[in-house]
Amino acid sequence: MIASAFPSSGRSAVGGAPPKEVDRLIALQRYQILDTPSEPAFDRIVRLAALLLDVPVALISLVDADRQWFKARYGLDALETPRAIAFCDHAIRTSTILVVPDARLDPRFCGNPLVTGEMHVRFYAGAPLMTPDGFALGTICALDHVPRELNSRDAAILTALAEQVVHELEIRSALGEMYRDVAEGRRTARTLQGEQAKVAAMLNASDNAVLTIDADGRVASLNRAGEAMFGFEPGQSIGKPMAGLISIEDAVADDKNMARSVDGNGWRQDGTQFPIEVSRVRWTDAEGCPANGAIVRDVTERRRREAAAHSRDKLAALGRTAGGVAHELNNLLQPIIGLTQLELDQLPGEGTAEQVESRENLAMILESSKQAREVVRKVLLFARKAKPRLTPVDFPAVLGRAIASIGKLLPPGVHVEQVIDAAAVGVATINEAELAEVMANLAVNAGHAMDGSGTLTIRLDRLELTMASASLGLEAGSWFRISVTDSGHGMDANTRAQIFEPFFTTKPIGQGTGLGLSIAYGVLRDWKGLIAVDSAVGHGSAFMLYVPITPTP
Amino acid sequence: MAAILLIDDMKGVRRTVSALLTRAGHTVTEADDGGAGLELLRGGRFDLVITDMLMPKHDGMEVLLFLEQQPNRPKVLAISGGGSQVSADEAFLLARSKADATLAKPFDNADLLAEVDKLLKVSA
Repeated sequence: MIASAFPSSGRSAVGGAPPKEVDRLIALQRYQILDTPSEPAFDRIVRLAALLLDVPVALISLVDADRQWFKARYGLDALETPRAIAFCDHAIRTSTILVVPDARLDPRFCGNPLVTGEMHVRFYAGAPLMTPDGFALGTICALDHVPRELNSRDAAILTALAEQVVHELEIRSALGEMYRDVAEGRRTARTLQGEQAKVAAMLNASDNAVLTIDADGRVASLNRAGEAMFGFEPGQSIGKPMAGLISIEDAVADDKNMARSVDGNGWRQDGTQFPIEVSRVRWTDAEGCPANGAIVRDVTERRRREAAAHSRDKLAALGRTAGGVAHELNNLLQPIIGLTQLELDQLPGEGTAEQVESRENLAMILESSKQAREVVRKVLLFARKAKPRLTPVDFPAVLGRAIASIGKLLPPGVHVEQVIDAAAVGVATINEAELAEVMANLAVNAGHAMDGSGTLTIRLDRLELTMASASLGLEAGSWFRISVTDSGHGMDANTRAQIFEPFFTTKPIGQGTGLGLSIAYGVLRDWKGLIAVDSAVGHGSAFMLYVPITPTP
Repeated sequence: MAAILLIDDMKGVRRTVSALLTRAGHTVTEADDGGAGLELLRGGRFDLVITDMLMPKHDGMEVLLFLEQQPNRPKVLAISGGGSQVSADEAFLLARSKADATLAKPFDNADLLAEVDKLLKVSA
């Protein structure tokens, strides 16, 4: 490119190197400027020169042994030209500005390819870059494509700019590596600011608490999510002792265990406690000191989901087992029922005392095996192996009928209060007989819990969830909610955790199969609904049944 | 009265059903597996087949599918208490499309006799 733009044929009239040329080149090398990337300080100077002198091209040219190399260029793409054709080679031979008003008329330059070629140089003014020890390293020069003069003001500007270039070169040289480092440092600082902003934005977007701890074990920083988690107002957490916020089960924080997250407890400012998972981090800070921090996750919701999933899995496994056992029992009950009936049919209605007793015994076997058949039927209902047909029904009406038939199941001292919300209208896809069975089971349990007297309140309302509710375990959508609340003795947490398991019962042997709530659980699951319980000892129990509302056109 | 083939892997069930139907005047031939039942079906003539649906080797479905291919096939009553993996209902769902009637174990004697009478009357 350079060769074609600046053909080296047609040498200029300059002959031989200037005096002390070797020393000058050594001085130039000392500045370590040749072939370095462009730098804003020098680029600014050539731009100023072009603007102030109103020329299309301005350059900072450094004259090397056989080339001139441009540290800064304004209006020119070339990086360097051969020294043989360089105007600047002439300029550095004097200590004053070299002015060529019209190169075509100057015998030194009229044959120069820069003049005759496409560069079309007519005007040249170059001020030498004089080092303090008297070497001209090159020039700052202004070029134009038309002939012109350089007035004294222009000359003064060019001289001042030349001094500025040398000043920059001196600083650059004095600072040496640091000069680059400063520029690099500024870039790094900007990058770092960007990174910090990014990290801060990401930390604040996360639901996790990200905290750093000072040497005394106090909070040095805590992101916004963390402040919210622990119940702090913004900025209030700084300086609070870490020990008052979290405790972890595995206090030994050796390096081997650092990567592993550990379980623990967190305390909010209002004194409430919540389960957390902590990942501890360690790094070396800017001062070279070991620093500590932690990422804390509030796992309340996860623990609740795990417990729910565990309970679901357990009930599903129980259901499979119970279902399998029930089917085997059906085959075994067949001969017991069938052959007993056959024997009973054979025996005469009247007879000896022994014959009458035999008849009574067989009748008892038949009665017991029919009860067993009923238990098996209920187990299968819980296991949902025998699936009844689900149809869309007017839900409030069907519920009303189910409630009407539970009165006779309750002791006379129990009063039933029914509250149907006016907004609770719509269709649900269910089985009416199953709803009646579920409501009957809940009523019988409530009757037992109230020891014969109290109030059973049955409410129906409508629940609109615009998004899934993790706490309820429900998907987004429209739901019927039936709540069955008794004023009975309530349940402790242990009982509450087991009530949906088949054969779990708190009633004396013979008074309950422990299948009622299991069936309710299975039924609601089949309806894509949910049954939940809220109870505490001495405060009664509330069973909540959630049934999805079937969209109707 | 009628020649009935009874296929069920449970000995107790076979004895119950067999005793009941024999006492009602029918001739009952027993098979303890679908395979044995198929052998008997190929070799003889029956008015009614009572088959369990879920049996270890050759189950009731094979019997139903075989009979479906036969011209002038006997009536079929499918009975099931289900197995450990398949419910009585699911087994019956399969059976309903092929069998003439279904009964879930454990059934009452009267229910079985009523069902058998109904099937034999229709075929007669």
